[in-house]
Amino acid sequence: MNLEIKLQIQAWLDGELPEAEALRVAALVKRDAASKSLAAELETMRAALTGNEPEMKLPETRDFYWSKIRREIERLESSGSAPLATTGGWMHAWRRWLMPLTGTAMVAVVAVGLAWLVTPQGQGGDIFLAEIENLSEDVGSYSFRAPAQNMLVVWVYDKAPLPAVDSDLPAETTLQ
Amino acid sequence: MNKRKTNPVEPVKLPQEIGTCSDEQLVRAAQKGGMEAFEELVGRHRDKIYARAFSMMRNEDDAVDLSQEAWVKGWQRLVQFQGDSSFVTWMTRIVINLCLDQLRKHKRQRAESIEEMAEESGGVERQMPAVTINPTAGLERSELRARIDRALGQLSYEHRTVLILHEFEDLEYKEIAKRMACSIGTVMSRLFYARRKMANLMASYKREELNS
Amino acid sequence: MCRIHRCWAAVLVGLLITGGVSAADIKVEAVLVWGTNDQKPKDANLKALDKAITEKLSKVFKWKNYFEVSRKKATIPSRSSSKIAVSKECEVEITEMEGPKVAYRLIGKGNPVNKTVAALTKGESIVIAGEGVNETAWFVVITETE
Repeated sequence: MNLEIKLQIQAWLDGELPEAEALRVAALVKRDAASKSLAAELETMRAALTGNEPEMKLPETRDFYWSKIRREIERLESSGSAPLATTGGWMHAWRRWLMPLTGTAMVAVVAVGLAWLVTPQGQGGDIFLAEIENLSEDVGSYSFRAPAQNMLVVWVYDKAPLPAVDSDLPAETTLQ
Repeated sequence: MNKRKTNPVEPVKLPQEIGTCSDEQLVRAAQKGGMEAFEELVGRHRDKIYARAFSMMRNEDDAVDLSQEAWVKGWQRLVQFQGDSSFVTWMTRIVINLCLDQLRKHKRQRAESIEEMAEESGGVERQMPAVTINPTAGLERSELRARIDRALGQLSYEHRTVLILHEFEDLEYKEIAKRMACSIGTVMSRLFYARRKMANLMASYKREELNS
Repeated sequence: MCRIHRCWAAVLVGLLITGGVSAADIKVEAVLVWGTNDQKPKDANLKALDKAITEKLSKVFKWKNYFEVSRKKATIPSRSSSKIAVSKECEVEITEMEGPKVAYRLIGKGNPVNKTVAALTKGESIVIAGEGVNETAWFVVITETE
Protein backbone atom coordinates (compact mmCIF):
# COMPACT_ATOMS: atom_id res chain seq x y z
CA MET A 1 0.00 0.00 0.00
CA ASN A 2 1.58 3.27 -1.00
CA LEU A 3 1.65 6.42 1.10
CA GLU A 4 -1.03 8.14 -0.94
CA ILE A 5 -3.57 5.46 -0.16
CA LYS A 6 -2.60 5.47 3.50
CA LEU A 7 -3.18 9.21 3.65
CA GLN A 8 -6.52 8.85 1.93
CA ILE A 9 -7.60 6.30 4.51
CA GLN A 10 -6.55 8.70 7.22
CA ALA A 11 -8.42 11.56 5.57
CA TRP A 12 -11.49 9.36 5.30
CA LEU A 13 -11.34 8.61 9.02
CA ASP A 14 -10.92 12.32 9.76
CA GLY A 15 -13.94 13.24 7.66
CA GLU A 16 -11.86 15.29 5.28
CA LEU A 17 -12.81 13.63 2.00
CA PRO A 18 -15.54 14.79 -0.37
CA GLU A 19 -18.50 12.43 -0.43
CA ALA A 20 -17.69 10.54 -3.60
CA GLU A 21 -14.12 9.89 -2.55
CA ALA A 22 -15.20 8.95 0.96
CA LEU A 23 -17.47 6.25 -0.46
CA ARG A 24 -14.64 4.90 -2.59
CA VAL A 25 -12.23 4.68 0.36
CA ALA A 26 -14.91 3.16 2.59
CA ALA A 27 -15.39 0.41 0.01
CA LEU A 28 -11.62 -0.17 -0.16
CA VAL A 29 -11.36 -0.49 3.63
CA LYS A 30 -14.21 -2.97 3.61
CA ARG A 31 -12.72 -5.30 1.01
CA ASP A 32 -8.96 -4.97 1.58
CA ALA A 33 -7.45 -6.47 4.76
CA ALA A 34 -4.38 -4.23 4.82
CA SER A 35 -6.51 -1.11 4.46
CA LYS A 36 -8.84 -2.34 7.17
CA SER A 37 -5.91 -2.96 9.49
CA LEU A 38 -4.49 0.50 8.87
CA ALA A 39 -7.86 2.12 9.46
CA ALA A 40 -8.17 0.24 12.75
CA GLU A 41 -4.70 1.31 13.81
CA LEU A 42 -5.38 4.97 13.08
CA GLU A 43 -8.78 4.82 14.70
CA THR A 44 -7.34 3.27 17.87
CA MET A 45 -4.86 6.11 18.28
CA ARG A 46 -7.47 8.73 17.44
CA ALA A 47 -9.82 7.31 20.07
CA ALA A 48 -7.03 7.19 22.63
CA LEU A 49 -6.20 10.84 22.14
CA THR A 50 -9.77 12.15 22.05
CA GLY A 51 -10.61 13.67 25.40
CA ASN A 52 -7.32 12.59 26.93
CA GLU A 53 -5.20 15.62 26.50
CA PRO A 54 -2.80 15.78 29.44
CA GLU A 55 -3.94 18.26 32.05
CA MET A 56 -1.49 20.79 33.37
CA LYS A 57 -1.56 23.06 36.35
CA LEU A 58 0.00 26.47 36.05
CA PRO A 59 3.09 26.46 38.30
CA GLU A 60 2.38 29.93 39.71
CA THR A 61 -0.12 31.27 42.18
CA ARG A 62 -3.16 33.01 40.78
CA ASP A 63 -2.24 36.38 42.29
CA PHE A 64 1.34 36.34 41.11
CA TYR A 65 0.37 35.26 37.60
CA TRP A 66 -2.29 37.92 37.37
CA SER A 67 -0.07 40.66 38.81
CA LYS A 68 2.36 40.34 35.90
CA ILE A 69 -0.44 40.40 33.35
CA ARG A 70 -2.07 43.38 34.94
CA ARG A 71 1.20 45.29 35.15
CA GLU A 72 1.87 44.80 31.47
CA ILE A 73 -1.66 45.83 30.52
CA GLU A 74 -1.36 49.00 32.58
CA ARG A 75 2.05 49.74 31.16
CA LEU A 76 0.79 49.38 27.61
CA GLU A 77 -2.27 51.49 28.24
CA SER A 78 -0.30 54.28 29.84
CA SER A 79 2.50 54.30 27.27
CA GLY A 80 0.41 53.55 24.20
CA SER A 81 3.22 51.32 22.95
CA ALA A 82 3.12 47.87 21.43
CA PRO A 83 3.81 44.92 23.67
CA LEU A 84 7.36 43.62 23.64
CA ALA A 85 8.13 40.68 21.40
CA THR A 86 8.03 37.21 22.81
CA THR A 87 11.11 35.63 24.37
CA GLY A 88 13.59 38.40 24.57
CA GLY A 89 10.78 40.60 25.84
CA TRP A 90 9.81 41.44 29.34
CA MET A 91 8.27 38.14 30.32
CA HIS A 92 11.20 36.04 29.33
CA ALA A 93 13.74 38.49 30.74
CA TRP A 94 12.42 38.14 34.27
CA ARG A 95 12.90 34.41 34.15
CA ARG A 96 16.22 34.40 32.36
CA TRP A 97 18.28 36.22 34.91
CA LEU A 98 16.59 36.27 38.25
CA MET A 99 17.07 33.64 40.92
CA PRO A 100 13.82 31.72 41.24
CA LEU A 101 11.90 34.07 43.51
CA THR A 102 8.84 33.11 45.43
CA GLY A 103 5.58 34.92 44.76
CA THR A 104 6.05 36.88 47.97
CA ALA A 105 9.51 38.05 47.02
CA MET A 106 8.34 38.99 43.54
CA VAL A 107 5.88 41.43 45.07
CA ALA A 108 8.95 43.61 45.52
CA VAL A 109 9.31 43.78 41.74
CA VAL A 110 7.61 46.98 40.77
CA ALA A 111 8.86 49.07 37.90
CA VAL A 112 8.99 48.57 34.16
CA GLY A 113 10.41 51.23 31.86
CA LEU A 114 9.67 54.74 33.01
CA ALA A 115 8.40 54.18 36.51
CA TRP A 116 8.02 55.50 39.99
CA LEU A 117 8.89 53.16 42.84
CA VAL A 118 7.05 53.18 46.09
CA THR A 119 9.06 52.36 49.18
CA PRO A 120 8.03 48.91 50.41
CA GLN A 121 8.65 49.99 53.99
CA GLY A 122 6.11 52.77 53.60
CA GLN A 123 8.43 55.46 54.82
CA GLY A 124 6.18 58.49 54.84
CA GLY A 125 3.91 57.17 52.11
CA ASP A 126 4.71 57.40 48.40
CA ILE A 127 8.26 58.64 48.20
CA PHE A 128 10.06 59.10 44.93
CA LEU A 129 12.85 56.54 44.77
CA ALA A 130 13.74 56.00 41.12
CA GLU A 131 12.94 57.04 37.61
CA ILE A 132 14.29 55.11 34.66
CA GLU A 133 14.48 56.33 31.11
CA ASN A 134 15.68 54.48 28.04
CA LEU A 135 17.81 56.74 25.91
CA SER A 136 18.01 54.38 22.96
CA GLU A 137 15.18 52.79 21.00
CA ASP A 138 17.13 49.52 20.88
CA VAL A 139 17.13 49.20 24.62
CA GLY A 140 14.63 48.46 27.31
CA SER A 141 15.05 48.31 31.04
CA TYR A 142 13.42 47.03 34.20
CA SER A 143 14.09 47.95 37.76
CA PHE A 144 13.31 46.59 41.15
CA ARG A 145 14.51 46.81 44.71
CA ALA A 146 16.04 43.93 46.56
CA PRO A 147 15.63 45.23 50.10
CA ALA A 148 17.32 42.28 51.76
CA GLN A 149 20.47 42.98 49.74
CA ASN A 150 20.07 46.76 50.00
CA MET A 151 20.15 47.07 46.23
CA LEU A 152 18.29 48.93 43.55
CA VAL A 153 18.68 46.98 40.32
CA VAL A 154 18.30 48.40 36.84
CA TRP A 155 18.42 45.68 34.22
CA VAL A 156 19.16 46.82 30.67
CA TYR A 157 18.40 44.61 27.70
CA ASP A 158 18.47 44.60 23.93
CA LYS A 159 14.98 44.77 22.56
CA ALA A 160 14.17 41.72 20.47
CA PRO A 161 13.12 42.45 16.89
CA LEU A 162 9.35 42.43 16.38
CA PRO A 163 7.91 39.59 14.29
CA ALA A 164 7.60 40.33 10.58
CA VAL A 165 3.91 39.46 10.49
CA ASP A 166 1.23 40.18 13.02
CA SER A 167 -0.05 36.84 14.21
CA ASP A 168 -2.16 38.09 17.05
CA LEU A 169 -5.70 37.57 15.89
CA PRO A 170 -6.89 33.98 16.19
CA ALA A 171 -8.51 33.92 12.77
CA GLU A 172 -5.60 35.39 10.90
CA THR A 173 -3.08 33.52 8.88
CA THR A 174 0.24 33.14 10.54
CA LEU A 175 3.58 33.34 8.85
CA GLN A 176 3.68 32.09 5.26
CA MET B 1 -4.02 49.08 19.12
CA ASN B 2 -7.42 49.08 20.77
CA LYS B 3 -7.40 51.26 23.82
CA ARG B 4 -9.86 50.72 26.54
CA LYS B 5 -9.51 52.44 29.86
CA THR B 6 -11.23 51.50 33.05
CA ASN B 7 -13.41 54.34 34.27
CA PRO B 8 -12.35 54.97 37.85
CA VAL B 9 -15.53 56.84 38.70
CA GLU B 10 -18.12 54.33 37.48
CA PRO B 11 -16.96 50.78 37.97
CA VAL B 12 -18.49 48.19 35.62
CA LYS B 13 -21.29 46.52 37.53
CA LEU B 14 -21.89 42.82 37.22
CA PRO B 15 -25.40 41.47 37.83
CA GLN B 16 -24.24 39.07 40.53
CA GLU B 17 -21.33 37.85 42.57
CA ILE B 18 -18.35 37.67 40.22
CA GLY B 19 -17.58 34.06 40.95
CA THR B 20 -21.04 33.01 39.78
CA CYS B 21 -21.04 35.03 36.56
CA SER B 22 -20.88 33.17 33.27
CA ASP B 23 -17.96 33.70 30.94
CA GLU B 24 -20.26 35.69 28.64
CA GLN B 25 -21.17 38.09 31.43
CA LEU B 26 -17.54 38.49 32.39
CA VAL B 27 -16.48 39.07 28.81
CA ARG B 28 -19.11 41.76 28.37
CA ALA B 29 -17.98 43.48 31.55
CA ALA B 30 -14.34 43.20 30.56
CA GLN B 31 -15.09 44.60 27.11
CA LYS B 32 -16.33 47.73 28.86
CA GLY B 33 -13.09 48.03 30.77
CA GLY B 34 -13.85 45.83 33.77
CA MET B 35 -10.41 44.62 34.84
CA GLU B 36 -11.86 42.64 37.73
CA ALA B 37 -14.03 40.67 35.33
CA PHE B 38 -11.01 39.96 33.14
CA GLU B 39 -9.05 38.86 36.17
CA GLU B 40 -11.79 36.36 36.94
CA LEU B 41 -11.59 35.03 33.38
CA VAL B 42 -7.84 34.65 33.72
CA GLY B 43 -8.29 32.86 37.01
CA ARG B 44 -10.80 30.44 35.53
CA HIS B 45 -8.94 29.55 32.38
CA ARG B 46 -5.30 30.06 33.18
CA ASP B 47 -4.59 26.33 33.55
CA LYS B 48 -6.12 25.51 30.20
CA ILE B 49 -4.24 28.25 28.35
CA TYR B 50 -1.02 27.32 30.11
CA ALA B 51 -1.58 23.65 29.31
CA ARG B 52 -1.99 24.41 25.63
CA ALA B 53 1.22 26.43 25.62
CA PHE B 54 3.08 23.74 27.51
CA SER B 55 1.89 20.95 25.25
CA MET B 56 3.29 22.85 22.29
CA MET B 57 6.45 24.27 23.78
CA ARG B 58 7.35 21.47 26.23
CA ASN B 59 9.11 24.06 28.36
CA GLU B 60 7.58 25.43 31.55
CA ASP B 61 9.15 28.88 31.41
CA ASP B 62 8.23 29.42 27.78
CA ALA B 63 4.72 28.19 28.42
CA VAL B 64 4.20 30.59 31.34
CA ASP B 65 5.61 33.52 29.38
CA LEU B 66 3.60 32.82 26.27
CA SER B 67 0.39 32.19 28.18
CA GLN B 68 0.77 35.52 29.95
CA GLU B 69 1.41 37.29 26.67
CA ALA B 70 -1.69 35.65 25.30
CA TRP B 71 -3.76 37.09 28.13
CA VAL B 72 -2.37 40.56 27.53
CA LYS B 73 -3.21 40.27 23.83
CA GLY B 74 -6.63 38.92 24.76
CA TRP B 75 -7.30 42.03 26.81
CA GLN B 76 -6.15 44.30 24.00
CA ARG B 77 -8.34 42.56 21.44
CA LEU B 78 -11.32 41.78 23.61
CA VAL B 79 -13.52 44.28 21.81
CA GLN B 80 -13.09 42.17 18.69
CA PHE B 81 -14.39 39.02 20.35
CA GLN B 82 -17.83 38.46 18.86
CA GLY B 83 -18.80 35.27 20.65
CA ASP B 84 -18.58 33.07 17.52
CA SER B 85 -16.67 30.60 19.65
CA SER B 86 -16.34 30.25 23.38
CA PHE B 87 -14.02 32.70 25.11
CA VAL B 88 -11.59 29.97 26.09
CA THR B 89 -11.44 28.69 22.50
CA TRP B 90 -10.71 32.20 21.33
CA MET B 91 -7.97 32.59 23.94
CA THR B 92 -6.56 29.19 23.04
CA ARG B 93 -6.16 30.26 19.44
CA ILE B 94 -4.25 33.34 20.56
CA VAL B 95 -1.79 31.32 22.59
CA ILE B 96 -1.42 28.79 19.79
CA ASN B 97 -0.44 31.55 17.38
CA LEU B 98 2.12 32.87 19.83
CA CYS B 99 3.53 29.38 20.30
CA LEU B 100 3.71 28.80 16.56
CA ASP B 101 5.61 32.05 16.09
CA GLN B 102 8.02 31.04 18.79
CA LEU B 103 8.50 27.55 17.42
CA ARG B 104 9.22 28.96 14.00
CA LYS B 105 11.94 31.16 15.49
CA HIS B 106 13.44 28.12 17.20
CA LYS B 107 13.23 26.14 13.99
CA ARG B 108 15.23 28.71 12.07
CA GLN B 109 17.98 28.39 14.65
CA ARG B 110 18.00 24.64 14.74
CA ALA B 111 19.46 22.22 12.20
CA GLU B 112 16.82 19.99 10.76
CA SER B 113 17.23 16.29 10.90
CA ILE B 114 17.31 14.31 7.70
CA GLU B 115 13.92 12.88 8.56
CA GLU B 116 12.38 16.28 8.94
CA MET B 117 13.84 17.46 5.66
CA ALA B 118 12.56 14.40 3.86
CA GLU B 119 9.12 14.96 5.27
CA GLU B 120 9.13 18.64 4.39
CA SER B 121 9.89 17.79 0.78
CA GLY B 122 7.08 15.26 0.81
CA GLY B 123 9.46 12.56 -0.35
CA VAL B 124 10.69 9.48 1.36
CA GLU B 125 8.28 7.31 3.27
CA ARG B 126 9.88 6.29 6.49
CA GLN B 127 9.84 2.76 7.66
CA MET B 128 7.85 3.00 10.82
CA PRO B 129 6.13 -0.23 11.71
CA ALA B 130 2.38 -0.46 12.01
CA VAL B 131 1.12 -1.07 15.53
CA THR B 132 -1.35 -3.90 15.50
CA ILE B 133 -2.07 -4.14 19.21
CA ASN B 134 -3.98 -1.51 21.13
CA PRO B 135 -1.27 0.15 23.22
CA THR B 136 -3.82 1.90 25.40
CA ALA B 137 -5.97 -1.07 26.33
CA GLY B 138 -6.57 -1.49 30.04
CA LEU B 139 -5.10 1.83 31.05
CA GLU B 140 -6.71 4.02 33.64
CA ARG B 141 -7.45 7.47 32.32
CA SER B 142 -4.77 9.16 34.40
CA GLU B 143 -2.18 6.63 33.27
CA LEU B 144 -3.25 7.04 29.66
CA ARG B 145 -2.89 10.80 29.92
CA ALA B 146 0.52 10.43 31.51
CA ARG B 147 1.67 8.20 28.66
CA ILE B 148 0.24 10.53 26.07
CA ASP B 149 2.11 13.38 27.72
CA ARG B 150 5.32 11.38 27.75
CA ALA B 151 4.92 10.42 24.11
CA LEU B 152 4.11 13.98 23.05
CA GLY B 153 7.37 15.05 24.59
CA GLN B 154 9.21 12.66 22.32
CA LEU B 155 7.73 13.92 19.08
CA SER B 156 9.34 16.55 16.90
CA TYR B 157 7.77 19.97 17.12
CA GLU B 158 6.08 19.56 13.72
CA HIS B 159 4.54 16.20 14.62
CA ARG B 160 3.49 17.39 18.03
CA THR B 161 1.96 20.58 16.72
CA VAL B 162 -0.08 18.92 14.00
CA LEU B 163 -1.32 16.31 16.43
CA ILE B 164 -2.33 18.92 19.00
CA LEU B 165 -4.08 21.11 16.46
CA HIS B 166 -5.98 18.18 14.97
CA GLU B 167 -6.70 15.94 17.93
CA PHE B 168 -7.08 18.49 20.72
CA GLU B 169 -8.14 21.63 18.89
CA ASP B 170 -10.32 19.85 16.31
CA LEU B 171 -8.96 21.93 13.48
CA GLU B 172 -9.42 20.76 9.89
CA TYR B 173 -6.45 20.01 7.65
CA LYS B 174 -6.94 23.27 5.79
CA GLU B 175 -6.86 25.34 8.97
CA ILE B 176 -3.84 23.50 10.29
CA ALA B 177 -2.02 24.07 7.00
CA LYS B 178 -2.76 27.77 7.26
CA ARG B 179 -1.49 28.04 10.79
CA MET B 180 1.59 25.95 10.20
CA ALA B 181 2.32 27.66 6.89
CA CYS B 182 2.58 24.44 4.95
CA SER B 183 0.58 22.48 2.39
CA ILE B 184 -2.39 20.28 3.23
CA GLY B 185 -0.37 17.34 1.92
CA THR B 186 2.36 18.08 4.46
CA VAL B 187 -0.23 18.27 7.22
CA MET B 188 -1.60 14.89 6.20
CA SER B 189 1.77 13.17 6.12
CA ARG B 190 2.88 14.79 9.39
CA LEU B 191 -0.36 13.73 11.06
CA PHE B 192 0.03 10.21 9.76
CA TYR B 193 3.56 9.85 11.06
CA ALA B 194 2.68 11.58 14.32
CA ARG B 195 -0.09 9.10 14.99
CA ARG B 196 2.07 6.17 14.05
CA LYS B 197 4.95 7.40 16.14
CA MET B 198 2.61 7.91 19.10
CA ALA B 199 1.32 4.39 18.68
CA ASN B 200 4.85 3.01 18.55
CA LEU B 201 5.87 4.97 21.62
CA MET B 202 2.80 3.92 23.58
CA ALA B 203 3.43 0.32 22.57
CA SER B 204 7.01 0.57 23.81
CA TYR B 205 5.81 1.95 27.15
CA LYS B 206 3.47 -1.00 27.41
CA ARG B 207 6.38 -3.38 26.73
CA GLU B 208 8.45 -1.59 29.38
CA GLU B 209 5.66 -2.11 31.86
CA LEU B 210 5.30 -5.78 31.01
CA ASN B 211 9.03 -6.35 31.25
CA SER B 212 9.41 -4.62 34.60
CA MET C 1 25.12 52.03 18.90
CA CYS C 2 26.67 49.86 21.55
CA ARG C 3 24.79 46.59 21.76
CA ILE C 4 24.27 46.03 25.44
CA HIS C 5 25.28 42.41 25.42
CA ARG C 6 28.69 43.42 24.09
CA CYS C 7 28.96 46.47 26.22
CA TRP C 8 31.15 46.52 29.27
CA ALA C 9 29.91 49.44 31.33
CA ALA C 10 32.93 51.59 31.98
CA VAL C 11 33.13 54.06 34.81
CA LEU C 12 35.70 56.76 34.02
CA VAL C 13 36.19 59.06 36.93
CA GLY C 14 37.19 62.60 36.10
CA LEU C 15 37.58 64.80 39.08
CA LEU C 16 36.29 68.25 38.41
CA ILE C 17 38.57 71.24 38.22
CA THR C 18 37.56 72.54 41.61
CA GLY C 19 39.08 69.47 43.20
CA GLY C 20 38.72 68.88 46.91
CA VAL C 21 35.65 67.46 48.54
CA SER C 22 33.01 69.86 49.75
CA ALA C 23 30.27 69.05 52.21
CA ALA C 24 27.64 68.29 49.52
CA ASP C 25 29.95 66.21 47.32
CA ILE C 26 29.34 62.51 47.21
CA LYS C 27 32.02 59.85 47.15
CA VAL C 28 31.22 56.71 45.24
CA GLU C 29 32.83 53.45 44.34
CA ALA C 30 31.94 51.68 41.12
CA VAL C 31 32.76 48.02 40.61
CA LEU C 32 32.36 46.29 37.26
CA VAL C 33 31.48 42.66 37.77
CA TRP C 34 31.30 39.76 35.34
CA GLY C 35 28.79 37.07 36.11
CA THR C 36 29.28 33.60 34.66
CA ASN C 37 28.53 29.95 35.28
CA ASP C 38 32.10 29.03 34.39
CA GLN C 39 34.37 28.13 37.28
CA LYS C 40 37.19 30.24 35.93
CA PRO C 41 36.83 33.26 33.69
CA LYS C 42 38.47 33.11 30.30
CA ASP C 43 40.05 36.51 30.89
CA ALA C 44 43.01 36.07 33.23
CA ASN C 45 42.84 39.72 34.29
CA LEU C 46 39.62 39.20 36.20
CA LYS C 47 39.97 39.04 39.96
CA ALA C 48 38.05 37.40 42.70
CA LEU C 49 35.17 39.58 43.81
CA ASP C 50 34.80 40.56 47.43
CA LYS C 51 32.49 38.45 49.49
CA ALA C 52 30.01 41.20 50.31
CA ILE C 53 29.12 42.00 46.70
CA THR C 54 29.27 38.34 45.69
CA GLU C 55 26.73 37.45 48.31
CA LYS C 56 24.38 40.24 47.30
CA LEU C 57 24.48 39.41 43.62
CA SER C 58 24.22 35.67 44.03
CA LYS C 59 21.09 36.01 46.14
CA VAL C 60 19.34 37.92 43.38
CA PHE C 61 20.81 36.70 40.11
CA LYS C 62 21.17 33.30 38.56
CA TRP C 63 24.85 33.17 37.76
CA LYS C 64 27.04 30.93 39.86
CA ASN C 65 30.27 32.92 39.86
CA TYR C 66 31.12 36.61 39.93
CA PHE C 67 34.47 38.22 39.12
CA GLU C 68 35.75 41.75 39.47
CA VAL C 69 36.70 43.44 36.24
CA SER C 70 37.53 46.87 37.59
CA ARG C 71 37.01 49.05 40.63
CA LYS C 72 37.05 52.82 40.54
CA LYS C 73 36.44 55.51 43.09
CA ALA C 74 35.09 58.96 42.34
CA THR C 75 33.94 62.12 43.98
CA ILE C 76 30.87 63.73 42.46
CA PRO C 77 30.81 67.45 43.22
CA SER C 78 27.58 68.95 44.44
CA ARG C 79 25.10 69.75 41.62
CA SER C 80 27.62 68.50 39.12
CA SER C 81 28.60 65.43 37.12
CA SER C 82 31.49 63.08 36.77
CA LYS C 83 32.06 60.34 34.27
CA ILE C 84 33.46 57.08 35.49
CA ALA C 85 34.75 54.51 33.02
CA VAL C 86 34.71 50.88 34.05
CA SER C 87 35.87 49.65 30.67
CA LYS C 88 37.27 51.00 27.43
CA GLU C 89 33.90 51.27 25.77
CA CYS C 90 31.41 52.26 28.40
CA GLU C 91 31.06 54.71 31.21
CA VAL C 92 28.58 55.91 33.78
CA GLU C 93 27.98 59.59 34.22
CA ILE C 94 26.89 60.37 37.76
CA THR C 95 25.18 63.64 38.57
CA GLU C 96 24.51 64.90 42.08
CA MET C 97 21.10 66.52 41.99
CA GLU C 98 18.94 68.48 44.34
CA GLY C 99 17.75 66.69 47.42
CA PRO C 100 18.57 63.03 47.75
CA LYS C 101 18.49 62.32 44.02
CA VAL C 102 21.42 61.12 41.99
CA ALA C 103 21.31 60.49 38.25
CA TYR C 104 23.21 57.58 36.69
CA ARG C 105 23.60 57.73 32.94
CA LEU C 106 24.97 54.68 31.17
CA ILE C 107 26.95 55.48 28.03
CA GLY C 108 28.11 52.86 25.55
CA LYS C 109 30.67 53.70 22.85
CA GLY C 110 29.86 57.33 23.29
CA ASN C 111 26.09 56.84 22.93
CA PRO C 112 23.64 57.29 25.80
CA VAL C 113 21.83 54.08 26.66
CA ASN C 114 19.86 54.47 29.83
CA LYS C 115 19.35 56.95 32.64
CA THR C 116 18.29 56.25 36.18
CA VAL C 117 17.47 58.91 38.73
CA ALA C 118 17.38 57.42 42.16
CA ALA C 119 17.27 58.43 45.77
CA LEU C 120 19.33 55.77 47.43
CA THR C 121 19.23 55.14 51.12
CA LYS C 122 22.49 55.10 53.02
CA GLY C 123 24.53 52.04 52.22
CA GLU C 124 22.23 51.06 49.35
CA SER C 125 23.86 50.16 46.06
CA ILE C 126 22.55 50.75 42.62
CA VAL C 127 23.27 47.93 40.23
CA ILE C 128 23.04 48.62 36.51
CA ALA C 129 23.29 45.31 34.72
CA GLY C 130 22.65 43.41 31.54
CA GLU C 131 23.40 40.21 29.69
CA GLY C 132 26.78 39.56 28.17
CA VAL C 133 27.68 37.01 25.52
CA ASN C 134 27.55 33.25 26.04
CA GLU C 135 25.08 33.42 28.89
CA THR C 136 27.16 35.71 31.04
CA ALA C 137 26.22 39.05 32.54
CA TRP C 138 27.81 42.31 33.51
CA PHE C 139 27.01 44.39 36.57
CA VAL C 140 28.08 47.87 37.57
CA VAL C 141 27.67 48.10 41.31
CA ILE C 142 27.77 51.69 42.53
CA THR C 143 27.80 52.46 46.20
CA GLU C 144 28.20 55.70 48.09
CA THR C 145 31.21 55.47 50.34
CA GLU C 146 32.10 57.40 53.47
